[in-house]
Amino acid sequence: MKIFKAIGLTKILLFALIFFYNVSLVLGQTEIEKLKELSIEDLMNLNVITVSKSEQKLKETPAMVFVITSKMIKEKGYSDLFDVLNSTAYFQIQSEHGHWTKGGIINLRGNRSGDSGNNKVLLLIDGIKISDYGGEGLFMGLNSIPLYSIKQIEIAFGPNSTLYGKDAYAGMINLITNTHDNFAGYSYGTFNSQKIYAGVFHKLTDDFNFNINLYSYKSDEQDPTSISKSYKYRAVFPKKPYTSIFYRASKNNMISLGFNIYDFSVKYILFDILASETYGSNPNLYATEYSTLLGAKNQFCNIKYEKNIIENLNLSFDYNYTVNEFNPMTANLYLGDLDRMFVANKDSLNSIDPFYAYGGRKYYYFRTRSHNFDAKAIYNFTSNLKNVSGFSFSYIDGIPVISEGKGGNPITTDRQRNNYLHNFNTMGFFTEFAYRTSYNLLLTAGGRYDYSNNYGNTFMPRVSAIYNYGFNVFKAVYSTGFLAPSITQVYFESVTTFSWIKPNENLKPETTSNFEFNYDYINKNFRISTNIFYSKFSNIIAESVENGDSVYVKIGNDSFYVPLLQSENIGIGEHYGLNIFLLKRINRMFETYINYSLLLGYDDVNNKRIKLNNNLIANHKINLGLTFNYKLLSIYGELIWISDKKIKSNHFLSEYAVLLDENGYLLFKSALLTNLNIRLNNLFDSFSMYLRIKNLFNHEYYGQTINAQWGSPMVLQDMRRIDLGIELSF
Amino acid sequence: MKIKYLTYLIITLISDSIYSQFDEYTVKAQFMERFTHYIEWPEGSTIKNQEIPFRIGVYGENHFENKLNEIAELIEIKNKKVELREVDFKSILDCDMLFISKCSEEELNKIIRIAVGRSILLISDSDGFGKKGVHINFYNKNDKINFEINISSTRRDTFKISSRLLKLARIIE
Repeated sequence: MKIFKAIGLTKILLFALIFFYNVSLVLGQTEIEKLKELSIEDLMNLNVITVSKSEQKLKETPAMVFVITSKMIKEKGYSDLFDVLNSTAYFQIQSEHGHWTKGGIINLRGNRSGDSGNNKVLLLIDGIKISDYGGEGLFMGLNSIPLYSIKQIEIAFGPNSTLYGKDAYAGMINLITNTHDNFAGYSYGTFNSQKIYAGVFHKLTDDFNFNINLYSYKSDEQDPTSISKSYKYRAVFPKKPYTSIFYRASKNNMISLGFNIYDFSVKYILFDILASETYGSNPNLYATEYSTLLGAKNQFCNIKYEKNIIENLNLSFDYNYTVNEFNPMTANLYLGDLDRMFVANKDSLNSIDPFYAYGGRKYYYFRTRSHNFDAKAIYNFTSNLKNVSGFSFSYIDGIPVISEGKGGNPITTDRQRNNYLHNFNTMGFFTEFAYRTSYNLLLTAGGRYDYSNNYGNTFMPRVSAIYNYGFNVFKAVYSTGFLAPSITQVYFESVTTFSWIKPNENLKPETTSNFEFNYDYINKNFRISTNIFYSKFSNIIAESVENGDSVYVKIGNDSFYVPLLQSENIGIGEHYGLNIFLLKRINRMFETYINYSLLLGYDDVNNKRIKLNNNLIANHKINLGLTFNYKLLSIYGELIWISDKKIKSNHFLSEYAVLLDENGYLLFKSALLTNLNIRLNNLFDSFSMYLRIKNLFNHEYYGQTINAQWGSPMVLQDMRRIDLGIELSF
Repeated sequence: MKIKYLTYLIITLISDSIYSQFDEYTVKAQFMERFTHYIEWPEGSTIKNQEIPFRIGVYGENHFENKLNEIAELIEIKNKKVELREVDFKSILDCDMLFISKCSEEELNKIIRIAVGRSILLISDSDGFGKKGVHINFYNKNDKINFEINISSTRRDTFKISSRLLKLARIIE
C-alpha cells in the first residue's frame, strides 16, 4: 500500500466524496428539469441517444448481444475498450496494461489470443474493420482504444462469419462513435499517466457536417523490476554493459476525422502507438530479460455511400483502405538505450544507434496494406420478410514479421520490402433472410461463401429462431465462423540459433461451429439474461515441433542443431459454458447487477489434450456492480472475482523452475479485482469531474502473455490505477 | 502549443453550434407533455372534469422507466394532476393519453378498435403505426425526434390540433 500511503489516498477519497456530494446538492438539476423549459421546437432540435435501437438489436440479432451506452461508459468510468471487456460476460484478461499487440489482450469464451494479439474477436468502429485484413489481429492493445467519443458499444457473442466473413470467430465488437457531441477532457493518474482528449462536431448545412476526435495518452507505466518475482531469477540478461532497468513508457495518439455530405460519409482514423513489449505490455515475455520498443501506425480510410433507393430497399457501398505498419526502427533494445531514443525528438531516431556499443541489434518490421470493397443491400419484400445480401472483395499485400538478427538492417526502403511482400485477395458473397411468422417468432437463415487465393473456399451458414413474448426473448442459434491464417503464419521464416521456423503456404482457416440458447427477460426495473453455448473448433493452427526433425543450421561461421518449427492445422477443441446476468433497479438512486460466467472444455493441439483451466483460462468469473445516482453525483463500484488457472511452463529446466509446481505448472491464484468510479456530472451545465480507482486491494496479478509457456508469467503487474479527470461538454 | 491550437479550433468550430445528448425517452416524455398544450380533447371527454386526473397509460414495454413519473410529479396537465399507469386491453379506456410500445399488428388493431371515439390520444414510436391509425407517431431522423400526425384519425376522434403543431409534424392523410 505504499503508493496509496504516499499520495494520501484515504484523505483524497474522503475529500472527493464530501466534495462531490456537496456540490451535487448545491447544483443539482435533473435532465428533466432542464428540458422542462424547452419549447416543442427546441425539443425537435435535441440530439438523442436511441435506446429503442439497442433493444431492437437485442430482439432481432441472432446472437447473444450486449449493448453498452455512453451513459454507462461515463457512469462506470470506462476509459478504454479493455476496461469494458474486463467487466463483460465471458471475457477474461489475458494480459493487462499493454499497448502493443502482445499487451492489453483479452480472451473470449476460452479462445486465447494467438501470436497476433486479439485476433479472435472482430473489432469494428462504425462498421469499419479495425482488425487486420491480413489476419494479424490488432496492432495495438485494447487499452489503446479510447471510449471518450463512443456513443454505443455493441458486442455480439459467438461466431458471425455469415455476415462479416473471416475473423468474426469468437465474437464481434462494434464501436459506434458519437457524431453530435463537443467535448474536451484531461486526466492525470498513477505512473505519471496523462490523457488528453477532445471531440468536435460541426453542422454546416442540413446535408453537410463533420467531426474530429483526438486522443493522446502518455505514461511512464510501472517499473516491474520492483515487483517482478521472475526478475529476481533472471539469468541471461541483462549483463554488463546492458542497463538493468526496463524501458516501459507508452505514448499513443489517436485521431479520427469524418464528414458526411448528402448520402456520402468519409472517415479517417489513425492510431499511432509507441509502446514496449516487455513492460507496459508484457513484463514477462521472454522471461522479462529485455524490453522492446515498438512503434506501430494503424490507418483506416473509409468512404461510404448509403441510400434508401426506394422505400423497401437500402443500398450501401464501402471502400476501405487500411495500412497497419510497424516503425521500421522498431528493435530489441535495453532501457538505457531506449531512454536515449525516447527523450530525443522524433526526428532523431535515425541518428542514434543505441546498440553501437553492444555489437548487435534486432529489428522488427511488419506491414499490411489492404483495399476492400463492400456492397450491401437490405430489401424488405414484405413487412414480414427481409433479406440482407452483399458482396466483398479485398486485395491485400502483406509483409510478415521480419526480425533481422544481429547486424541486420532496418526495413526502410521499398526495395527491401519487396523482397518480403506477398499479395493475395479474397472475395465473399452472403445472403440472409429474416422471416417473421407472426410478431412473436422471427426465423433467420443465411450463408456466406468466401474464396481466397491464399487458403481456398469456405462456406459459413447461420440459422436461428427468435421468439418474443411480452418481456421475454428466447433465441436458439446455430452459427459458424472462420479465422484466416495470418500472413505471418503462412509466410514467416526465421533461422536463429534457437530454431528454424519455416513458412507453410498450405494452411487452412481455423473453423468453428457454435450452438447457443439465450433467454432475456427485460422490464423497467429488472433484467435477467442467460446464455448457454457449445463451440466446436477444428483446424486450429499451432506451431508444431516435428520430433526427430531437427537440423543443423549455419549462422555466420557457427553451426547449430535446431528444431524445425512450422505452423500447421493440428488442433481441435470444444468449449462450452453458461452465463447468467441479473440486473435490478432498486429505486431511482440504486441499481445493482451480478454476472456469472462458467467456461469449460479443452483444446487438443498436436495430440495433446489440454483442459481450458490448464491453458490459462479461468473456469469461473463473477462481476458484482452497484450504481448510485443522486442528482449530479454518480458512484459506481464493482468487484470482479476470477478463479485460478494455470499453464505448463517450458522453463522446467531453467532458473525459473523454482516458480513452478511439482508438475511444472505456473499457477495463477484466484484474484479479486475492484473498480470504483466517482463522477460529478454537468456542473454548471457543462463541466464534469471524475475519480477512478482500479484494483485497490490487488496489486499482483496477470502479466501472462500469449506465449506464457515460453515466458515467465510470474512477473506480476501492479494493477492499481488511480485517475482524476475533468471533462467539458459544450 | 498543440493545446493552444486545439483550443482555438474548438472555440472557432463551436461558436454557433451547441449540442448535447439526451436519453430518447426522456425527450419523448417531454414531447407528450407539450402535445397537450396544442391539442384540444373532444367535447364530452373527462378532460375538463377537475376531479379526475390526467391519465397517461403505457401499453407494452415501458421504456420511459421513471421519466413520466418525474414529469407527473413536477407538472400539471390541463390544470390537473397527472396519473400514470401501465395498462392492458381492459384498462385502456381509463386513459386520456396512451403510449403504445412496439406490438403486433393484431394488438395494435385491437387497441385502436377499443380507443376509437373514446377521447384517448394515441401515441406510438413504431414504423408504420401512424399509417395504421395512431394519432401521433414518433420517428427518429439524424438522431433527433420528429413526429407524424394522422389527420384522418384525429378528425375521426374529434381532437383539435393547433396549426403550430401541424406545421412541425409530418402529415399522414
